[in-house]
Amino acid sequence: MASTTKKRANLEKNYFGYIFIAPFFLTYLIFQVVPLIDTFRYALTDAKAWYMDPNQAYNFVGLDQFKFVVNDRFFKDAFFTTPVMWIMGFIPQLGIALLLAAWFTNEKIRVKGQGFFKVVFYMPNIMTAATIGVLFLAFIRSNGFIHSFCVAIGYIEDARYPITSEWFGRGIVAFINFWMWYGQTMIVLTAGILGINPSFFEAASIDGASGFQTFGRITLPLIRPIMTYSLVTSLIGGFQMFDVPNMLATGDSHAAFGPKISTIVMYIKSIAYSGTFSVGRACAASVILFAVTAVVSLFLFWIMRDKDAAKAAKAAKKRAKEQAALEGGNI
Amino acid sequence: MNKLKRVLSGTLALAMAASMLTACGGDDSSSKAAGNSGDASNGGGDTSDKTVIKVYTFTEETQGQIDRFLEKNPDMAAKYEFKVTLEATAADYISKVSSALAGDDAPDLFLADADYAQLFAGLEGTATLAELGVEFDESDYYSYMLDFTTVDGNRMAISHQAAPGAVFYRTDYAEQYLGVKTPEEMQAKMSNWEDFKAVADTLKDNGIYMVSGIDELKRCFMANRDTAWVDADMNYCLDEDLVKQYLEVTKYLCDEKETQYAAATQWTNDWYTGMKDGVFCYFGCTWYLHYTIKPNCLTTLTGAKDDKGNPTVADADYVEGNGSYGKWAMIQGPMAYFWGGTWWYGSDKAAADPAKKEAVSSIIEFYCCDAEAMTDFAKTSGDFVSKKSVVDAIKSDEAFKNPFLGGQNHYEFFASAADNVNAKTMSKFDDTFNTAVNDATNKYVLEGASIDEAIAYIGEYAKSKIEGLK
Repeated sequence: MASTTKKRANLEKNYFGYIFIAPFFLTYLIFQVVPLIDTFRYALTDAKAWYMDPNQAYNFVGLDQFKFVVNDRFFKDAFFTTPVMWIMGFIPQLGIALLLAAWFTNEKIRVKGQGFFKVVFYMPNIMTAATIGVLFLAFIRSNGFIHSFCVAIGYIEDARYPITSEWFGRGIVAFINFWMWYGQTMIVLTAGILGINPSFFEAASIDGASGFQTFGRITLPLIRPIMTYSLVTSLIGGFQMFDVPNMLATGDSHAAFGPKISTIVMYIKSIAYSGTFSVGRACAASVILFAVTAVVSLFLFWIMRDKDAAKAAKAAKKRAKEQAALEGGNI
Repeated sequence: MNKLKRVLSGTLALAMAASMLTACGGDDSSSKAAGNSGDASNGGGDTSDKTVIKVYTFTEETQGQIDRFLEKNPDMAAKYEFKVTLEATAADYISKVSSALAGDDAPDLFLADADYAQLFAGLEGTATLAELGVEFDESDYYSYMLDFTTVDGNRMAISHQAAPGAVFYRTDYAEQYLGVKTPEEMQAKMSNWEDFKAVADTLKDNGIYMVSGIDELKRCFMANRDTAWVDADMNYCLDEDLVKQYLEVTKYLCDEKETQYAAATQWTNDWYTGMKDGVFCYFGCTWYLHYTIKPNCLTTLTGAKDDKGNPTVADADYVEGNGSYGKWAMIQGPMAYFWGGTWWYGSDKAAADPAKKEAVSSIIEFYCCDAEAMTDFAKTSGDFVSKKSVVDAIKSDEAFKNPFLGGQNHYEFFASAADNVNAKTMSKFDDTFNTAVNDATNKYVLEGASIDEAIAYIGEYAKSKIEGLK
């Protein structure tokens, strides 16, 4: 009894905190949650921007917009391109980040100037994606250094021609994503590794484990939760990829791979801001994007779950049940 | 100490909350202010005895035109005050006008560019010219610019300028490599696309590119379709022969190394660079002459700065021998076309209020109907006006001999070009089709897609973006 009063007193004392966080939650509720829920409603209508339909006299059309979107070739293209570009960027991103994190945390190597390298690796992430898009635009446009290089090695025979290969375009987007994010992933993974109890590493080295063995048997399994976090946040970011490919596709690049690096969000934008400005259709595409992202994220969580822990929990439950049954039997 | 902490945290919390609230409050008060000014103009103006006319525009030119109107019409200046709101970004301007028109805060007078002139004509809240009391003789205007903004037989807007297109070509190259001395001879050599290609072949042998990029011919071809892309019943209408011809001519020029770049170059630096040297011709129009090709053909600038400190072109830079200045002339080229214009509209709100109606119709008539005022405007600005009788009266004026064009009279030229223009091909989805045609051009010209695939792509793209297109 005494303990509960104490708890309540603690709660009352902290009510100031709620006032602190209230402005955020209020604005979030009004400007984010309400429109978010509205997206689902609009997805079932043929609503258009008000300059196409000043009276907003839209109709409820059921699932027609969804049917249209999933059958639209441009949506299908974007739905292929987006995850492909994400995977192409994420694999090297995670690999390099892991390698660097392992080096930076290795007691035996003791890399000098760590702070400097961390800042340098993190730097691309500080710049806005649009800025980096413009930078690479200058590289690939005619007489930019990538274009000139392609001409010099004979990949492009006539210098008047731009780079048109779709895989070239996708590769550039993937490279930018990799380059922008490996520093951030590295910092997160470093934090994860530093969180591992050092006595594990000591024990391993006393037992004579090699560097690879320590990394594979101790470091990797123990940073799995943090890797799951990196993977899932990167996946969500990847599905919503927009600024870099949009800049490369629509900027003054001379490169003709514009439509081939079109992502899902670019598709949504083109539906909502050109032609008939079809808000309803864009909402339907957004809902699909949301559903797919959610399903894939959950799937990743399931894949990356700690199987041993899950097994142990199951076993404990079973034991508890048996115990209960036993006790019940006794009574 | 504890107290201090509490005070500090309390202040911080307040400051945070206050900053958020002011952010919202800022919006609130500004919209209120806007609402107030609207109310004031509705009520005839409490603070001053002048009626406020709200003007929305996309171009800096408008403020100058209004000042000029008030200067020449002191009686109007005594009665009215024009409040101009400028929004240069097309998408923002469109949403601004269309949302305002639907509400109480509607502008009284607003202007449109060719890209959305038709869209504005169809908006609810746009008054017809008859409702505004603007009277004019339709036969005295280039029909394309009136037809363009006609909804259900009602004329919704009128343009003060016409923008017939032309081909600008380099006279020095023509003389040196083609043996052509006058624009008439040049026109005879380039009156159809086969001849156009032949000229390009000759120039290639002499190291001169015919055009800058693969999108140079687009405006010209697309203005010559026999129907609009989308008809009134939302059917997709493709002028297949013309699009095919456009793609084929473009691919020919590109494959034969007769375009300077195998890419779209319009409005890029490479496009402007070609104007200085190395490219034979550009497809442009009335305003293009003054604002695009003339300033960009210069190679050296005296170093004048604009208001923001950026380098700009001074009058002193316009001398023969600077870049390609003076080495250009205009011809009609293989096809007649038009590109742009500025249309004037009044709102229903203005039409319902006699005082505002007078102001709006007076300024529209001043720039679009009054022969004397239009003559004066044409002579001072060099702009090509939309009224035929005015154009005919002044077209041979010495004032229009253009040194940029080596003395050719651009007014006389545009006067003859404007007669051939037809704007029945415009629809409010042209911007979407523009992108589709660009992509299709890349597909066919650069990526080896078949011409049928490229043409089919235009329809697929349009149907993806235009809901209800059949």
